[in-house]
Amino acid sequence: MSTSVSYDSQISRGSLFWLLSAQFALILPHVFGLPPWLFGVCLFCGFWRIQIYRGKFPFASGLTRVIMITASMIVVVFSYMDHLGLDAAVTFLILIFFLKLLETRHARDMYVTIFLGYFVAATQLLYDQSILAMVYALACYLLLSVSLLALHHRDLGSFSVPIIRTGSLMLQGIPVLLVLFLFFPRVEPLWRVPMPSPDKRPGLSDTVTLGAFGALARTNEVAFRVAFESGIPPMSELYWRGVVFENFDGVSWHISPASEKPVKPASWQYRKRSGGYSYSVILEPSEKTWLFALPVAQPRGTGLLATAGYTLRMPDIQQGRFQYKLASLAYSDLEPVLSVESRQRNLALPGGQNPQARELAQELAQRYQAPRKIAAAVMGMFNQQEYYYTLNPPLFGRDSIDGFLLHSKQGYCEHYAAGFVFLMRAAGVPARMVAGYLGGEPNPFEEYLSVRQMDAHAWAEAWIEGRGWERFDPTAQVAPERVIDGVESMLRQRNEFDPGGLMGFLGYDDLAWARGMRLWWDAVNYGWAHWFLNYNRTAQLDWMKNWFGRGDMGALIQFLAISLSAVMLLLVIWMFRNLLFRKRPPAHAAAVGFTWLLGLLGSKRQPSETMVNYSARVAQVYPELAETLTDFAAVYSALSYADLRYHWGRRLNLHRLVIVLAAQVFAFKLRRPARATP
Amino acid sequence: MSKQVSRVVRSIGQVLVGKEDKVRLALCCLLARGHLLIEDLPGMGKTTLAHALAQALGLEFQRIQFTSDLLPADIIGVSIFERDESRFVFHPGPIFTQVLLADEINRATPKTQSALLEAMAEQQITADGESRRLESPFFVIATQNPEHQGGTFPLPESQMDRFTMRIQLGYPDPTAEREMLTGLSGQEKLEQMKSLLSQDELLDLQQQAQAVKVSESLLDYLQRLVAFTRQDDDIGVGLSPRAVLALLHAARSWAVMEGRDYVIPEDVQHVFPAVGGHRLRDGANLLPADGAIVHRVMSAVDVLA
Repeated sequence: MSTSVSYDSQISRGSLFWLLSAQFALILPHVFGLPPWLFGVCLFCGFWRIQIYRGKFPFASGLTRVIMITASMIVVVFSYMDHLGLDAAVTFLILIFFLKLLETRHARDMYVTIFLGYFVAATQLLYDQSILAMVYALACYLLLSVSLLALHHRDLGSFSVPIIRTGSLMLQGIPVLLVLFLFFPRVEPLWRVPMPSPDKRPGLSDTVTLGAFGALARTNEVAFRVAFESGIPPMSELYWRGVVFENFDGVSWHISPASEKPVKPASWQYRKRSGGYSYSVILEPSEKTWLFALPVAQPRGTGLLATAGYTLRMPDIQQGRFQYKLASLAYSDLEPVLSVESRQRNLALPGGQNPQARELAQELAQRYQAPRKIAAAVMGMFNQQEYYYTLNPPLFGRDSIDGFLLHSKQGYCEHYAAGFVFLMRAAGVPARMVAGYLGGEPNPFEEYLSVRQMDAHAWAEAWIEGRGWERFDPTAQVAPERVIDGVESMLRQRNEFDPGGLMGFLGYDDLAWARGMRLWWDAVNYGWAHWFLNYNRTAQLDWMKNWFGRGDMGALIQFLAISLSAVMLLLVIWMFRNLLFRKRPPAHAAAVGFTWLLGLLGSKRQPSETMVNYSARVAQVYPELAETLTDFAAVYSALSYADLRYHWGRRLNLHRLVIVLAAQVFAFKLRRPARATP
Repeated sequence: MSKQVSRVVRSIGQVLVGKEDKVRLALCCLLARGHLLIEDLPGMGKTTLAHALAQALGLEFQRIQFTSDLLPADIIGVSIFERDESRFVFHPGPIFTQVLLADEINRATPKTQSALLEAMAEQQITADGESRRLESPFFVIATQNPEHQGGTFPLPESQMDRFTMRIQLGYPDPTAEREMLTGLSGQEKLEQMKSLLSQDELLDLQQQAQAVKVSESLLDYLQRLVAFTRQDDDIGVGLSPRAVLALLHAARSWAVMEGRDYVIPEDVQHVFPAVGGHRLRDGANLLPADGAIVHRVMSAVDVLA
């Protein structure tokens, strides 16, 4: 039963209750992002509205409303003085959304508030686009829609009925949702709200001072995921090259602007070898434009920048995940001719620090002469002397490289890379430090590799006359298992793995099921990013081209129109199904099957026989079937007559019983002929 | 079956031995707020049943013995000029009660019978141009002899249709008859009988009956039944919309008496002979239909569509 609602009618209690619940659900995700006073105001408005409902407080008068709205504008502007961007906009929106409560007098005000709510619910997705956030947003939409429904139907009564009904309404929207998702043109936004400055996310930093990678190695956040088109290469080849450190000021390593200079990928100089990999990478949000790739990587598709340091960059810092496709080629002779500036940059050792290391380099240079032999000697030194890989090395002040190379002999990848590069430069061989990631964890559920922040790695490149830049990973000499097995298993072997705590739930990997769960969840997230979040304009047009042969905007709009009309047509047919097709009771199909089966046994149903009587009659002749027959009759009766059409469990059970009966009847028929029924 | 109902049925069953099924139908009719017609040969216990019902329900009770010279005013009441007050004063008749037992209703002339029409349909009477409400609940329990008996005027169809149910008692089976012969007389038992339902309980049961769920499938079945009576050549007069409503209400009450909150086709089948039987007319001679026709309707109409 529904009562008609005019725009002026009173607001039902149910609708108000659902709206308030929806509102508080809506602001929950913002609690840690937006200023606390906002939530104070929200609570106050909610309280006020409840008091209005109870007849204790009046509605806000015109003057009060003007004052409140002016005050909130001023407060928002002052709170976000320095950065009037997304946060300010969302704060203002939420404020308005709650202040609106104080004047929701009639149904029409409710409409405005609820529709505003649909808009507010979308704002949480600007901050977080994970699956959980999406599920939560859907729950908010459900609550809002329940409120809308309760506004129209005052007598829905209990708690579950409105939710179930709204849920079924929302489910009916799925076809339209799919069509819009697939075909609605992704238009570039007409205007942008300045995004908040990204949070400090873990990631590689643009300066390396001995000490930074250690902290990084302890977070298990995913940095990026890679899907190879044909098999995952061996671990020891997975050097994800991201950034080159050429400038050294005596203490820290910096990125040289020269190596960041954009160039055409075609101008990269190297000799191709046979072999290579094609893959696509989904990069988690980071505060850098750095892209990671197996060298030497040629971008497939447009939109990526190549640098003089043979690395790749994205044009802008992305708020969300970023997907790119690459083809990495086996190569040799990288940059065989080194320019004078480049040579100077990669030999520079300013300041007078680390005298002992310089001395050692001079000795090596005199003894071995050839750059390759010097490099081999340094690598050998790491291998044969008592160097030890640890994430907690002692710290040295000014002469940190001396301290590491000649005294403590303890450090991690960055120390070894820095030590190597320092020695090479001091011996007159151009060398530079490279940072990126090493390895990754294959996911058994989907064919892809997760690379985590703790896989961050630093290694070195030395320029050898006639051979170009060559990779040297001194860490491999000290701790080969780091390169071969990955950082996690290495730390486990050394008992330096810190379970729980900083390592997060990676720490429970000793339990097989926990590891399985983690990998499964990782796979779900990957699929979400791969299939859903990355379905952008390019992906959409690609998809169209693959499936329909046309990948332009016009085709998109045509397909949108066609499929929307198709969905509408189906809906119309559904709405008028009673006119078009004969209406059948809910359990009709099962009943037909049931009577047919019993008919095989020679017992036809009389028209006047109800299911219960019919089953009882047959059960007298076939006591073996009695249980199934009685169960069926009971469930059928309840479904058809007790208005339990939406009890899907019972409907399933009904069909299950028909199948059971079929098995019994056929088993019976095979054994002996039918008996006579009374 | 719900506890109160079975208590009432058991108690009436002691007065009218061996007719439990009919007693339940009668009770069902009253729970559906319908009027009841009990038809059978003299001496079968019609009046006893009517009496027992009224007593069990604990309602205010009036009895009118219908005779051929009974006039409408004898039922409704009459305005008499009061000399002292110099005006007409209405003296209410026996119809102003909760249970009206109209004994041998077909012995009165059609004119007098029709005096009950308004009261039964609208629960009010009009006398001297003034409408007066009757008490609530208001039931008419009428008894009649079969029409072929001497000295009877057949009830007009309009009157028949206002009775939700008609039940026929039939001869008792030998065991019941033996019990009757050896035990106390019906009259003595009646006197000992106490009222078993309070008015609130009765009202509650009636409300429960109204709240009983009726599914689409069941309504389909009801409509198929009715449509069949209207189309079949062997049936002269089919069931009226009022009859369908009566059928639905009766089926609901039956469901409540069975302790269920939804109607199943069995309920309809239980009450159909009592609800439909007296309304149907034979196609050949337009005489009241016999049991065979009712049975034919039920066996011909498919329960499951």
